[in-house]
Amino acid sequence: MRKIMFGIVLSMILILTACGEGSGTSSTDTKETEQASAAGTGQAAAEDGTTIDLLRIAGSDVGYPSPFTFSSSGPFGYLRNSFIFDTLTWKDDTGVIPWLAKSWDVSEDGLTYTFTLEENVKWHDGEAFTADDVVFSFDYYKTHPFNWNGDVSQIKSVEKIDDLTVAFHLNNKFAPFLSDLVGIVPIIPKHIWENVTNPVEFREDAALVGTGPYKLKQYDSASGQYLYEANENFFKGKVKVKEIAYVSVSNKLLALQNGEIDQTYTFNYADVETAQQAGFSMIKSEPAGSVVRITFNMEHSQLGDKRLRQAIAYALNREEISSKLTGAEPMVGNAGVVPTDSPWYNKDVKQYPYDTTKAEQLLDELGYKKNANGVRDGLKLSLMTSSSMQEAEMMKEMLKKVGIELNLVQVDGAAFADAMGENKYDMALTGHIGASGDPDFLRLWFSGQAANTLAARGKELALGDFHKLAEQQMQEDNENKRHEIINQMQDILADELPTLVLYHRPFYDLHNAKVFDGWKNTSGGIADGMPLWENKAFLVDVEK
Amino acid sequence: MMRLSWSQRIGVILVGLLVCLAIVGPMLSSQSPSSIEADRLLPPSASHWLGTNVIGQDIFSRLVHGARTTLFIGVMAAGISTVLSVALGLLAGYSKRLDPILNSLANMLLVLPSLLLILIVASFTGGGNWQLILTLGLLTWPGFMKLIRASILSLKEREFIKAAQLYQGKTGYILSRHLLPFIGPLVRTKFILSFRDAIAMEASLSFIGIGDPNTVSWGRMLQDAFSRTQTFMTNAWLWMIVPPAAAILLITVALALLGESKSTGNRFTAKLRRKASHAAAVNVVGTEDASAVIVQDVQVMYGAKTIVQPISFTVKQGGITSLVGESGSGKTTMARAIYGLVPQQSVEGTIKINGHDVYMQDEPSTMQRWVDAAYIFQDPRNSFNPIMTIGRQFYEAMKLQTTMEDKRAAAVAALVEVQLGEHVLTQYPHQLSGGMLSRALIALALVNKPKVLIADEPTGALDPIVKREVFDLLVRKVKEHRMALLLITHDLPAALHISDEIIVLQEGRRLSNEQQEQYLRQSKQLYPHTAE
Amino acid sequence: MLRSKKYGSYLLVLVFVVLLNFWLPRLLPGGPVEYITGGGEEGAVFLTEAQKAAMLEYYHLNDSLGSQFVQYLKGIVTFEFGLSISHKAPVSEVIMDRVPWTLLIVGTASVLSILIGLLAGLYSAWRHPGRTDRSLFITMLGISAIPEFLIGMTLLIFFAVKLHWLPLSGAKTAFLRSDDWLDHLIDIVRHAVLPALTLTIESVASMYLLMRNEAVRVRNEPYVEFAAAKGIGSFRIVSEHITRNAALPLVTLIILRIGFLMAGSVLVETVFAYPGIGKLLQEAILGRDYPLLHGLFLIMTLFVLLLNLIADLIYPYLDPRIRTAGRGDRA
Repeated sequence: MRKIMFGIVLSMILILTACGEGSGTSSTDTKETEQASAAGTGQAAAEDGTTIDLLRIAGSDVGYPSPFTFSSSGPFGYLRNSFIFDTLTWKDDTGVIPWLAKSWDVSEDGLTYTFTLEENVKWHDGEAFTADDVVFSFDYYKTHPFNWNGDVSQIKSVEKIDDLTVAFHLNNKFAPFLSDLVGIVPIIPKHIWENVTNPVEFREDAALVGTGPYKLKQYDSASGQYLYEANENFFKGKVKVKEIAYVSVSNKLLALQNGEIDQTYTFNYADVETAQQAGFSMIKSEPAGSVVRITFNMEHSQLGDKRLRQAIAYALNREEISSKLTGAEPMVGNAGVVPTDSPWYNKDVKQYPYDTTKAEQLLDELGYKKNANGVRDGLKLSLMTSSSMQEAEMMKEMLKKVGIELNLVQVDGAAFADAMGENKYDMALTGHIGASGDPDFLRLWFSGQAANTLAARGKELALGDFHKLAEQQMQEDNENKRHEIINQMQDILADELPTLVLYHRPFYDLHNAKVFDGWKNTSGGIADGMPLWENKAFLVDVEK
Repeated sequence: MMRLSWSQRIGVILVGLLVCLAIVGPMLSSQSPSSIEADRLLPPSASHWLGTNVIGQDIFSRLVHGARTTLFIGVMAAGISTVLSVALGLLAGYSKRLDPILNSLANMLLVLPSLLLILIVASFTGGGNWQLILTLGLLTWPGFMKLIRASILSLKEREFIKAAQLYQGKTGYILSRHLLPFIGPLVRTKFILSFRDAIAMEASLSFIGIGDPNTVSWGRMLQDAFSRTQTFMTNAWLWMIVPPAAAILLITVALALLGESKSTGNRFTAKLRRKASHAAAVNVVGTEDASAVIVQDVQVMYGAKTIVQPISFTVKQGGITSLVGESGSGKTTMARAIYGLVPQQSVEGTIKINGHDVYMQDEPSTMQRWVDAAYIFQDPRNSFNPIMTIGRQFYEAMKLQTTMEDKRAAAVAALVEVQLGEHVLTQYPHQLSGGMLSRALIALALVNKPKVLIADEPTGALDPIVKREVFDLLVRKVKEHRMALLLITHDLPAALHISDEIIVLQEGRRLSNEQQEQYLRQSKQLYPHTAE
Repeated sequence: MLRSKKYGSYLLVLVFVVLLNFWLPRLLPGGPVEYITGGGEEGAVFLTEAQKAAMLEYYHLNDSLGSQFVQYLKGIVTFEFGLSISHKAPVSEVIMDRVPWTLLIVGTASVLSILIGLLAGLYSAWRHPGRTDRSLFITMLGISAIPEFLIGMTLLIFFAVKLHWLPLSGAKTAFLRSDDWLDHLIDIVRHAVLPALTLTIESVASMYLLMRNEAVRVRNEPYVEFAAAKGIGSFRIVSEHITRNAALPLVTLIILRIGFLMAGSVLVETVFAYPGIGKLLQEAILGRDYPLLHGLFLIMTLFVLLLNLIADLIYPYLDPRIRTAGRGDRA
């Protein structure tokens, strides 16, 4: 399993990047030919069912991809893991699709889900996959928590009906069960893990025995490179891309242009334009998926008053922030948090257009009078960031105009999370994903259920009816009714403003269409709303 | 006011310019460095001299305001570090009780690379400018502290400090009055170097994202620029990267030039570009009556200062001439000039040894060192290379023999002549006593059988009994080998005892005959017992 | 006695580092769990309290600081630091994966900069005083002042971004398909060129300055003038007399510089995304990966101390004065 530097014996010798880089010139023409030759037989292969030999994607080290050892910081560890391990359901461009489970039934009361499993599924080591593995997995995760989201505590018990049928009994109704629970938590083989007591230290080859479309062929933790090879016996159909290499690069755009990789992503629109000029294809994530937002400390003596939060919202020219930092069409943040291009977006929610007079009026009302220098005495706030973010500098300038003095504090990630957890901050600025999937994230962010620092964790926010609504939507299986509840929740958030989304930040996929053109947006994002494209469903010819 | 070299002047001018930029610049630019009014990534224009960055801030304004931050951090960190170095260095040098503690603390900090320490401490203390200043100030003092401590320790031994202590001088008074002036130049260098390092460090830390987001510094500007691919994909790097990078480059290089320490004691020596001597096949000018050394109207200058006024004399074949004078009279310079050891351009007039011109215009002298003449230095211990065996130092000078066996035999023979054993050849200079080294030196001078020997206080470093012995040996050998000897000494009685001729130098001038007569008479009165 | 004092100060450094290593990361806000929940640039993680508790428990982060400290000390003695929190692999394995890369660039840079620096320093001293010496000196003085990352970025932009001559980053091409070991070698060399060059440029200047100053000092020693008076050619004076005498006190300094070079690799590895221990250290600090930090910091300290020790040990073999004094046969 571990790499032996010179020992990879392959029947085919592909002329790869080494020569591509070596003779690389800045001319686009030559580069395209090089890329075409690098792709070899993969050229124009995506659509007609032929195979692609190798796909190279930008990535870095996110840990050994077993369910217990991948890095849970950021979405990439989970994605690496998802190539090897399968879940009962999965998502493609249309939404939730059957995966290890062929079909399912929900009981009247919505408390029991019965799954019929695929037949003839084999683990990578040749053992048969059965209902026992499903039962075992969920039991195992209760004692050895899974590394990623997926609230296993919603499940009361998992019951084997027969070898190919499993029933899940829930504590209460849980609307996002299919997408955000069984659609996320990977099934692991019982015959391997039942003897493992310390899964984090279990790093033998057996730890990577899954049912998924890929097996890990090589992993170099120092440089963070992964090489996956197709599982020829994959139950869902033929795997189109024979090998996937994750290549660690310091600059994704330059690497793409130099032909070192075939696919990457960015949230900088200027990069997109450069890449498009050089002949690369682009897909914009829909919904946007990533938000850049301020979290207010609701226990702060001044920010505790929602009028101050609203005044700040009016004082910020969020359109300018959005357009300057992304270089694209601005996407001003929804005061109700849900991305404006999401199906769950409430169009009628209260918004805060840029309006300094309104802001000043509110501030005057609150009694923060401007002194001779145009500064409101007694209103000094700090804004904490965990990396150098130019949004903060822009906010400082904008708030200066209405007389609010903003002090910028930059700390590293761990200190940032610590300050959030202990409520030792005034305002905090972050950009992150997770807003495009099932709207249950609103409950997780603001009801203190999850230990997510970015969402004012720990202390439950005093948001009136919000928590009740949050519980309701979770248990509501009627789509329309659920929409209504979510709309109400957005109204509350927009009025109370526990957080202010500065702008929604679309991710852009950039890829070399000549190598592989099968990339698609996943409806609602991969797993719990990742606005990324490395979805295994698109790399396989799904037969059914 | 001390004299500055041209490179230091460039340094002063550059630093001055950048300081002016920091002071005047912000007044020149109408925009605030943080204002975001302009469009993003504008190229340089009349309204934005250096264009704008990604959020529309004016780069020129950021550059000049950044100069203030950068220089401020540099000055403060350098100040703290320097004050600590001096204070702790003085304390350690002066207090026997504190010394072990301070010294081991310094050693500890010195063992670990400072960059590593600073990086780690800065990562954990976060970004503020003052945190950075303190981190840099508190971690970079040990190197110079040890230098200062060492110079204090050596100064303490000097008489006047002891005298001051004897007269119950207060410690503080002694420190400030007597010691500070000595360490002044050290402090200046330390401050400038720390200044430079602090600026480089601030930029480096900003580059990896540790810095104060409220202020603009050059390092931060670079970090903004480097963090976006667009910067070097488009022309934006021209105005986003070049100005702050150039500014950092200029200030650090300027400070490096400014802090250049005075080149270590530029001694008054000839250039080191000579071919090896070789034994001339036939000594063309070898007639008995010809003079061995001819000095004609020779004048030696060091810069604008004349060290030896025009002088002429000769040394006869097989004769002994003594050059006498007090220290500082120019006699050593004269001797070195005769042997060709001072820069050619400092010497005027003609010097011939064995008929060869020692100084020739545009071509190397044909006088073969150690073959036509040999030169013995004042102190034998300093004349021998301390890490080379005596044997090797013999062999490398021997030109008459070619094979190793012959050389060895000849060297042994030369040693025997001065009553030294063969074993000396395998020994290092520090293993021999002063007297033995002197004898070895005389033996060495004889190996190529030169016709002329110049000896500069050959016994000056020896104690009186050995001195006499060695001196006698030298004179005996010179006579045995029929060599001409030019003896430089202040020991007038000894000179009178052996010399055919005596030349007295006083302040670079040869005394006239009458003056010399008088001088010699006075000396005889001073040392009557040695008079003949 | 002097020697035991020296070893004493090494021991002190070690104790200091062992303490600093444990307490510094813990004194400051945020731990590994906070880092993970804080998420990176692209994502936030929802850890349930159960998941969080399991993590704290697993890494003994809930134990009292005292028992963590005891655990840590045990780890140091046995060289077992446990599992890296962010890499979820044994610390020693994580570090050993990266050490060769750092050694490659630091080693290359050390050898090159010592060779070039010393030769240039000697050359300068030989031409001293003079115009060549002066301009070389000023140039090197200037170079020594430039921050490392600036040199690195400049090289990167010109040779990799604009000219495409060399790869942008990393230590080798990912999964290079070639059976020929030569291709792999060339690939590794091409990746190492820029980082090693950056380190070399940075340190060559300081090597030069050290050598030149020392050589100029030695050049003014009476025994060098005496050697000149003996009629020895200038080349031999430089090579036999000046070089050896000047190099002697430098041996210690030069060996210590290698330690500095390693510290410099932190920045250079960041610029070139080179998978060495410098970059690892930075990641470990960010991630509050205590076990990894312990291992890294200790290894770096031991490395530096080892260099010191080597310098102390080989010095006597180079200097006959100390060598014979040690044997006690001083005449």
